[in-house]
Amino acid sequence: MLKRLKRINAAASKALLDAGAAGLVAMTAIIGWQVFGRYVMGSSPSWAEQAALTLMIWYVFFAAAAGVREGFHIRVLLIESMLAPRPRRLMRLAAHIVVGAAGLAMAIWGGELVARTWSHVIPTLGLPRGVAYLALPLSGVLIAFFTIELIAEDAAGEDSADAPGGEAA
Amino acid sequence: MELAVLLLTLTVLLAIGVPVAFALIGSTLAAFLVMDIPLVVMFQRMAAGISVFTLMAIPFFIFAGDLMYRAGIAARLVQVAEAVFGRTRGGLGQVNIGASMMFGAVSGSPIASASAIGSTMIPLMKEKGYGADYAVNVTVTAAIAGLLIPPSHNMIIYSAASGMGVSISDLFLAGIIPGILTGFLLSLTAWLVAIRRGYPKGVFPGWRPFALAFVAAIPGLMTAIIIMGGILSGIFTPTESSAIAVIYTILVGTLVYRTLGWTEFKGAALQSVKTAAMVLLIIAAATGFGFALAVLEVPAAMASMIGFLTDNPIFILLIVNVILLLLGTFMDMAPLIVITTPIFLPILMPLGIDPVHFGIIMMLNLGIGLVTPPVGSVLFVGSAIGKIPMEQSVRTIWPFYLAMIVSLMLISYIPELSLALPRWFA
Repeated sequence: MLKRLKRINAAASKALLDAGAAGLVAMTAIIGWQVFGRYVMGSSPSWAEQAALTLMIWYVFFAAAAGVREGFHIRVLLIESMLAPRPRRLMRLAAHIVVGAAGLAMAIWGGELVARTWSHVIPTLGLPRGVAYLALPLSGVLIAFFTIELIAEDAAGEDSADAPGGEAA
Repeated sequence: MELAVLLLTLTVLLAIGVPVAFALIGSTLAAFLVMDIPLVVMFQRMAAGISVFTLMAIPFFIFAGDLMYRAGIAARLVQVAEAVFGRTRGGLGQVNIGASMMFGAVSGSPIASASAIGSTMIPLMKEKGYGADYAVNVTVTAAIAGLLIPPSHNMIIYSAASGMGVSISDLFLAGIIPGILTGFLLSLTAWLVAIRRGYPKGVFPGWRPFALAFVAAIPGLMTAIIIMGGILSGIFTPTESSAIAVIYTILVGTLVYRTLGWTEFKGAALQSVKTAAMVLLIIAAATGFGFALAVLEVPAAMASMIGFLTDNPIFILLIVNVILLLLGTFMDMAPLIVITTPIFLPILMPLGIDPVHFGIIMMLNLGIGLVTPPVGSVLFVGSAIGKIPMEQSVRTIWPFYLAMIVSLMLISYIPELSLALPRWFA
């Protein structure tokens, strides 16, 4: 069961990071196009900046969700490194529960934010602002989902996927 | 009471190893619950905090820096520095600092600088008999000097956090002299330590190899001219310049050096997305946390507390510096810029301290925090490359801390060091 979840999560987080990398490249192309358009074509596309920003919000929140599983978010290791294995595992369990709860909150109240901003249209894009912010609740769901694996591993007494030196480090 | 909930929750969450971004989110939500503020406000602040056009420069500068490393631009800068500084006592330390300063002028991220220069210089220095601790110390502190040299994505965060649009090009210009000063003091320190430890002298390779190395590095060094030239002449905005830096680096890497293949490109994009996501999520979360502080009137309380202690600008600047240095040891640079700028800028501006000047003070101050334990991302990267525990490099880093503190004091109390260049170009 846990093994299967691990496989799904590993694939999901890799897909998120790949998509994020593609987003970064696309964003570079858009801003490059904006400069090129201004000097070479005589006019720059009005949608460029807003589109690049929306893209950035999306890949930041998706890659950040993957980061929960891969353990690349910066954190304080000082106390953890001083503890014996058993209390360390309990502390990691507590930390993972906090991250999962924050993800859940982002899913719920980020969703409320999307609902509230759905009627605001971004003029240059013709899209609701809520579309840009949709990344928050989706990322929240993913974060909550990824922490299930981490919490299950802590409870089972294994080194979790995001542990330093663990499989994903 | 509400403030106690906010700060205590943050401290506990950080201590048990919750990632910084999530500790900021969790503690703000806890405080909002006590304060009866709807939780949606937190996510609205986060969304607003990241929806800032200028912040797009952060992923671009990170991406450009990573590409420069993988395309071998960093290694070519090292060769130039080697030809120039190799002859002195402990020459490789000087080479390291020189290369870091040059890399600082083409890249906007201190982590990119430490990993790019470090992965070339640290193994080389260890091989030539330099202590791993010395190699790491020189690399990480030189990356902080490079942080002051434009471009710098942290200055862009500061400009956004100031809420009054402090000019990014002024900040970029203002960083040049303080960056060189800091680099000079570090190089003096590295030289003195090298003498004490009896490190070897290098040999001058002769003018021809020097000229060759320099010519080979020109396409890379051009990035600095394109970025600063483009911004100062108004051809493009700082954000656009960062995207142009990415595109230019890709062109140099594929067409001129022919070192940048698909594997390197993909690796750089993946690594940059991770770093950018981490930094920007923290900025978003810190915006929400800063909002909670503002609702709790912390900025006003801090102002009256400092005003109660003294009204002497010299002491106030000292107090602010000490507070930032302390915070910097256990918090990362980006969230601190976002959280503390709106607190300190309103205190300092009425005293006649220019926001550009304070920006540079903050860059170096919080930059020092990047190389101090327990949380110091640049120190962490450097120690990992040097394959030594962070504690081991910190044991002998004191002379370098001292050099940076001296530089910080000079920069704090001689505003002209920062303001002369922006005024000259104005």
